[in-house]
Amino acid sequence: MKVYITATSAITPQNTFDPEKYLDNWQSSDIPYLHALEPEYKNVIDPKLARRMSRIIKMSVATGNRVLTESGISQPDAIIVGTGLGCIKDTEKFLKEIITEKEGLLSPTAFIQSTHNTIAGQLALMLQCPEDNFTYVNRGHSFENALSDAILRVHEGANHILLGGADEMTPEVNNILVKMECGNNIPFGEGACFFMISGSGDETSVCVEDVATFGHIAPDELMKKVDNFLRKNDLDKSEIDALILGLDKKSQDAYYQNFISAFAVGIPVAGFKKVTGEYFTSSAYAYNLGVEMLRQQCIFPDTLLSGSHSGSLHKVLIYNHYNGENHAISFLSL
Amino acid sequence: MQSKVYISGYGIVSALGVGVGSNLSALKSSTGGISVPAILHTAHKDMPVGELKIANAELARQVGLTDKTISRTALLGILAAREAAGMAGLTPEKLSATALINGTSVGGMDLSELAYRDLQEGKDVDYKSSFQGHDCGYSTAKIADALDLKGTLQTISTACSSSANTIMNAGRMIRAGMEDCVIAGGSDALSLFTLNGFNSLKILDHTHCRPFDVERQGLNLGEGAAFLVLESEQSLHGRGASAIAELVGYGNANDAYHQTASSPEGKGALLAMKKALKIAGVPSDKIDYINAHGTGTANNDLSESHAIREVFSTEVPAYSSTKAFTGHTLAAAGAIEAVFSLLAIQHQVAFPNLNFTNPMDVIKPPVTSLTPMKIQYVLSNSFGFGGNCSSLIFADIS
Amino acid sequence: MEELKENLKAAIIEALNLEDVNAADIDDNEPLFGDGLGLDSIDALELIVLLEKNYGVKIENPEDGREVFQSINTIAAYIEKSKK
Repeated sequence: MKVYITATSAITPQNTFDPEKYLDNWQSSDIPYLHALEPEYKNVIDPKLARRMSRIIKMSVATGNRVLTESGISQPDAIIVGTGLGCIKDTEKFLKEIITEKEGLLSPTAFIQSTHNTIAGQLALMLQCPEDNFTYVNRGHSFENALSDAILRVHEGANHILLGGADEMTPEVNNILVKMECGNNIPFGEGACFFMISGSGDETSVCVEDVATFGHIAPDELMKKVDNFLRKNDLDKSEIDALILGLDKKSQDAYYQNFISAFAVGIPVAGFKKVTGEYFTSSAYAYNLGVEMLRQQCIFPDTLLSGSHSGSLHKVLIYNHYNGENHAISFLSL
Repeated sequence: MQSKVYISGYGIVSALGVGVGSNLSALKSSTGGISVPAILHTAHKDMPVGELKIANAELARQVGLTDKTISRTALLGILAAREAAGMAGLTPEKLSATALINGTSVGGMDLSELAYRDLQEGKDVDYKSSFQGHDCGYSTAKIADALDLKGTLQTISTACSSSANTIMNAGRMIRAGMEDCVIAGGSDALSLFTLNGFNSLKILDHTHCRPFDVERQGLNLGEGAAFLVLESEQSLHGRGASAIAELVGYGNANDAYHQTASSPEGKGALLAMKKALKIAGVPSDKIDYINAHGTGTANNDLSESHAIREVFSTEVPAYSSTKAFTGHTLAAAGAIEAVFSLLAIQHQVAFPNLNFTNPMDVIKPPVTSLTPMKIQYVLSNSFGFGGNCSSLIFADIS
Repeated sequence: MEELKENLKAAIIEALNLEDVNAADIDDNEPLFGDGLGLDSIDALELIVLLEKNYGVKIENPEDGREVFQSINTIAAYIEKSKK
């Protein structure tokens, strides 16, 4: 089932929020993880509403608002969010208070803001949107769960769905994740990416033709999955103009190596985690990048890991895996 | 023609015990499961909770796992999901193509909060085993592993409506022909995080909770897990199985009023119930029994009562909250109460709303004793933080 | 009393994260809830915590907070009264 991305906005550790400066002026990180480049929120969120919002909510509300404005849809038929760790800063804050106060007198704000569905709930509250409101929290498939739901909704007859993927990082959570050794050799990051998903689009809308997700597989099993995906979409490998992969640099990672080797030698490979770093919903950004690549007909030089691009861009594939456990392939076209 | 959605099995773990049998007998004998915490080590020693009095090591033994680092949320979930699959008679082959939709609000917090305290106190911790289960998706993966499920996995976290939404999604996917067999439900273990969280909001009743009573003082927190096996007609016939009941309606809406408080008139609750009735194609007067959300807080019960009265007008059906039996099991509540709704249909009884004395003036009193009655349709409500409101409708097909 | 009120305003602004509000902007008689500063039920709980932590003043029943939290003047008066 096809759906269309009619608007998108992203806050990431690079310049992605301001469309005029998209991936301009490359930033380097002087802390152990990639910290999002956030806009001056006063200009985008009413301070009265913002006072209880942690960064994940501010990032989400800012990008969500931008998508609503860009698409001209003020009341979506559903608000659907994917997040891996949810409002982890407020979770950390409340846990710390439980410990320091020895379960004594605790201030409730961090607790009420800590639930995973605070992001989608805040958006509903701001928009006064009484429609379906869902939050998916499925590790490296959190965003893909949300996207699949949006696609099902279009199938069920919904017209416009506000969809997002967001996670925030803190020094302490980064420290824990690094010590857990689950980063796939990519520094951790954070960000929020929102989309308007619609049943139909115009000439600037990017089509999400298909999405396939699967759990743990061995690197050599991936090829069969790729072949099945291409066959299902009646695609020849030579038709694919570029790949958007969950990499931040050229890597020995067998999954990505196998994936690239399935396509023509010299096919352009954009590494979206160079922008976002690693986190459970980083793959949401791959769709934002894909939309910008197709709309602007370019591969942003700072993301290009290998290959070269000439001619036009019509069909791109996204492939990402989180820790070898959560894999997803998508096909975007314009 | 959209496929119908049948329920062929269910499983449950709550403060009333492990398994459908112990839960049913407690419900039938009006024996609540509220007690003081013994497994959860908390400073709130006298705070009543709905706690399953079985320690993690024993739960792990019951599910056949030797891994001591698996969260209680995952253990409770495995027990309930396994019972559901067993009741439905799903073979290993069928299981390998079955989807799992799990709902949880705090995932493996029961373990990670202890490790986090150790870290704060400067102690050494094994990071991987201590924190690997923190995220909500972990318990879903563990349940899938334990049952050898290879199909689609989804995890939903919409606070206290989470597992109602998993059942709704199972229904949507089966109707759309995307899946033909889905195990859906949710799990949440008691944790210091949630107990102290609700305590900081000053909405915990320091005695046994009294849903819908005019003197109600708040909720009792609980823990548990429940899962349903939902199937298309084709799937049922394909394996020669029979159905227990049908999921005929579901509705999700957002109250859009406040992050934690419900709107006084229960706007979200009203919309969720109306949507569920519309999907079911059933007029409101056909509903025989409502398993209400009824947490026992001043705010929820008033707002839910207004919404119920708005939907059903002068003909409010028999209703009760079963949270005085189990406590509020957060993300598991929707599935646990879905199981109670199915039991109400199978046994043609409405379960009592315990601890009720004085009615509110906005709604007639709930059912306060085990009441045999004709039950064709049951409506089950689940509402949560973030304005999340969900309603499910189950139908007798016998 | 004036010092207590100023101190109280600063503490409230910090605890409730009222970034766009200055202490000077808050009138001692201005209603804190509803139309005034626009505080809600969660803020009332935060104020209970603040009074106990900063001033050692307890409010056992959240319902009693309504009376106390009408304005800076009523809170200051309550703190003074409780200390005696």
